[in-house]
Amino acid sequence: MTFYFNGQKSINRRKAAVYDLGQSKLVKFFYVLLIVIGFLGLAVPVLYYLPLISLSFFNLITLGLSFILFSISLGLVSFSIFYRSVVVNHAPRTSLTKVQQLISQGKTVNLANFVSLPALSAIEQAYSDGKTTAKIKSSDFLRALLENNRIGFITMRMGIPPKDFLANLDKFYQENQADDTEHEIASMVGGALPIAIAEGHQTIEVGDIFVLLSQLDTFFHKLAFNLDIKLEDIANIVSWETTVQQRQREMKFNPDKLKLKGGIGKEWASGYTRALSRFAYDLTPAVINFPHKYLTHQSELDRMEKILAKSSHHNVLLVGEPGVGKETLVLFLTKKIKEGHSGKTLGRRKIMKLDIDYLLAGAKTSGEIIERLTAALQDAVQAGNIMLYIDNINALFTSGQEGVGAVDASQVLIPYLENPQLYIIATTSQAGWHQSIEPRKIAAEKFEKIEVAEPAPEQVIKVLEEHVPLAEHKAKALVSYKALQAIVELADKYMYDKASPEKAINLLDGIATQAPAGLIISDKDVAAFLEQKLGIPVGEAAGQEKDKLLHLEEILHRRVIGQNEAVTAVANALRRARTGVKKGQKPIGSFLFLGPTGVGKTETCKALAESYFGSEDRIIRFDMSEYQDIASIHRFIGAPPGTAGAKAGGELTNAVKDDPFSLILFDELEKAHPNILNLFLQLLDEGWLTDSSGRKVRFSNSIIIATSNAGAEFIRKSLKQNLDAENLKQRLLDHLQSEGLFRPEFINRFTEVVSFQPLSPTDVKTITELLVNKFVVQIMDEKGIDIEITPAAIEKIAELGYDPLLGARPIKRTIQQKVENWLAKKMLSGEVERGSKLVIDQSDIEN
Amino acid sequence: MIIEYVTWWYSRGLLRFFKYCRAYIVILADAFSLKVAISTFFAPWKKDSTPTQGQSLDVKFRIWGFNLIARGFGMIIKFFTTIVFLLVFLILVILEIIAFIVWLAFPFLIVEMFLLGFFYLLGA
Repeated sequence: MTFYFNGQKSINRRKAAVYDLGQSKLVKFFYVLLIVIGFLGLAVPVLYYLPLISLSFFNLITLGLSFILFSISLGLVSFSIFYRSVVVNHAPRTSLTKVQQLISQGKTVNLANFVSLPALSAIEQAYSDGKTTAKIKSSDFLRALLENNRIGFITMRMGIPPKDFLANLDKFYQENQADDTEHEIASMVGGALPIAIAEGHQTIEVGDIFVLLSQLDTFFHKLAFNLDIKLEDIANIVSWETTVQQRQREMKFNPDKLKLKGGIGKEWASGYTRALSRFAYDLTPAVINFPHKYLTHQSELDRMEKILAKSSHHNVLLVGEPGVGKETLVLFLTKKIKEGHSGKTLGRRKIMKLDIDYLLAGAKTSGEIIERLTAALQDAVQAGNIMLYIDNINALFTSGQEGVGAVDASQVLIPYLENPQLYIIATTSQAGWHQSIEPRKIAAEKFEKIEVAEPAPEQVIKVLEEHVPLAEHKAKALVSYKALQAIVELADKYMYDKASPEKAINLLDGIATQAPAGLIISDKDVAAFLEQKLGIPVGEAAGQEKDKLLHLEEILHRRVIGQNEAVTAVANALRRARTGVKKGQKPIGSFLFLGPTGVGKTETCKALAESYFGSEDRIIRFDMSEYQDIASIHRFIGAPPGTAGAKAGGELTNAVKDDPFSLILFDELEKAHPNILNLFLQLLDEGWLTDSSGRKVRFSNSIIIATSNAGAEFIRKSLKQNLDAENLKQRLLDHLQSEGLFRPEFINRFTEVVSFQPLSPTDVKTITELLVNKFVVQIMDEKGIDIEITPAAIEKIAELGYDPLLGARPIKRTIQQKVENWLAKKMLSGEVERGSKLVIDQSDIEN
Repeated sequence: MIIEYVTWWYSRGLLRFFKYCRAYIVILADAFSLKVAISTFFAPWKKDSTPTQGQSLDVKFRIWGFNLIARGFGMIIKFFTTIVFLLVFLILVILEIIAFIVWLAFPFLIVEMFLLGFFYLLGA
């Protein structure tokens, strides 16, 4: 079948047919076989003309046939050169941008000439399958496209192998034939033209048509919904596939883009660097096979080049969190210099990385370190072509500290920072900048500071796409696009030790090492890996956990008696967090528990920590009565840089950095200094705090609970008026604000303000029963003594243990005094021993 | 398709062939650092040159002597490197000329071999 665009045939239709032939494995096999036979046949004339061998087989017929076969071989060899250059790398002479210009000027263009050969084959296939010469059905088009390898790559990255996609398509088509749509091929290809231009393609590729179908075809939309494919991801995956193709092309030898390494004499023009070479190494070899093309900080690189091209003051300080890509920026610059794309000033320079570990290793005194550094810097100046890269330069600015390696080299560095022969690129973190460099004004002024921020998630995905081939090689499994999205999202949400993209790359590598071979790594695998690594629920709730979440109130009530409002509020917050309804960086939940002492506020916290984080040990507790003066804010978030104790950090920020997945309990919040309460405004609203060294500490995976006894008396009095819970809460909040205890903007930032009510006699009895049962089980386990405590005895303990002012708190003491002491005496006197059975009645409990 | 193939062989194909030839020469020159050798031919080896300002005349003479040795050493190394390069370059050019002739003759060779075989068959 021949197809037409605007009434004309494609000039590439023969090439498309040849391309199709070239894709056939059988054709390839016979092609190679013929070449081999032809060349082997050349042995016949050689043997024929050799005087010593005379066989009847070597006659004129075999001779003639061997020459014919050899000529066919030569023909096939030369045709394969032509096939690779012209058919496989087919590209029209007119660019697609020019084509679009011509179309916009109203000129008629035969778009068939600008469609790639695989796309032409797919269109022909779709026409053939649909037995039509008019419009093409979406289902036929999709089927034809799915036969192409490049679409195979795309569906695999969607997490669906092409065969499964095809099977799903057929099944979906059977059930929804009526929804199938039809397309005019010329308008279809015309629609794909801007996509191809945006992707930088030379022809309109199968991927571009696939993206177009995903954008406008309703049949495809329904199919994608059915297969859980996000339509907006398809364009991104096609873009990824384009990048992969480009990289594969770049890896091949290209006479137009030679990778020159400088040869044997690249060091001839520069001076000796004996001292420098002891502590530094050339970065150029690291970028010879540098696989990365995509840079998240292009503007920072441009700025860095501009600064380094200056005749003086050409020292750069990259400031950013570890993992943000500072070293990658330096490697990209090295690559540009190596490839001769960095201008004349930088072009002849060599970037050497000063390894601070080497510099410090074996040094006995700080004087020795300074000596080594001076010699290295002197060498770099004399060499005249060195650009010195010092990672974590703050390690050389550590005066005032004790121990090996504590050195302040700022005074040594200053003259070299002023030397026009030496270019220095240094890096440091925000904390390093604030603590070590900023206070040394003269040294700090010698640098031009460039802030390197964490890249956006979509940029991190592009970085990961470049790391995927390596990870896949390790895992022998395929990484889906959804997995990459999950890696970026979950690394951002749960990993705080480093910044993106490094933490995302580490996560990808971690998953790759554990993934079973031959599978497609999905978003669920990412969640499962992280769940196993962190020990907290990460993925979608399933199985037992689902049931647990649905019946969370019951589970919490096993430990918390009464307090329905509090239990419901925290249970709802947990369900929101686990189902992903809660978005943003805010904490999982933040609660202000108000009420008298001993009514279950702390017990609720423990029960919550146990249910969500797996253990009640995951509570980080702060007694806010210890933070009453203004200076205590420094204990909380760290002292300002340059002051004593600045390095120690803050108690809150350190604790959360060490264990971000925890319940943070602020007891007696009303006693804290008002400035500390102000910190809570940002913490509760944004989900993060900046510590004194400028580091961002995130609380997104924490549950924040603040307790306060303020208003306890008010609750008690109000309950006597028989107010309902909602009314009581409103009046309590009004009361707290009118008394000036908490400001409205403070209270409003909590997810929920919960008023705990004083315990009723029934609650007290239930709590006593719980505690007594716990004691009975413990004695049975540890001492083997079977104790039965009668209901009347429990009632008596409850009566004795209840104190309206202290709530249920004295019950434990009562059990200790009335039951444990009684039992201890019995055991000592020998009345009770292992295996004994005891009944404790009301009469056994002393008043 | 045959016409397109033959046209390509003697036009764009040939240009591509020349590009490859040029690329191999550039790679060879780079491997021998020809650019550095020529541009720094008279420069001191590894920038090993001592300034003479403020020195007495006899010390100056001694330093000039050492500086001259550094330049001479550099020149010798670069001279011999350039000679070796020229030899390898010559071999490469000869190989490229042979390859060029083969390229030009290739389609004719195919036809010739075919006809030769055909005539042998006829002769039989």
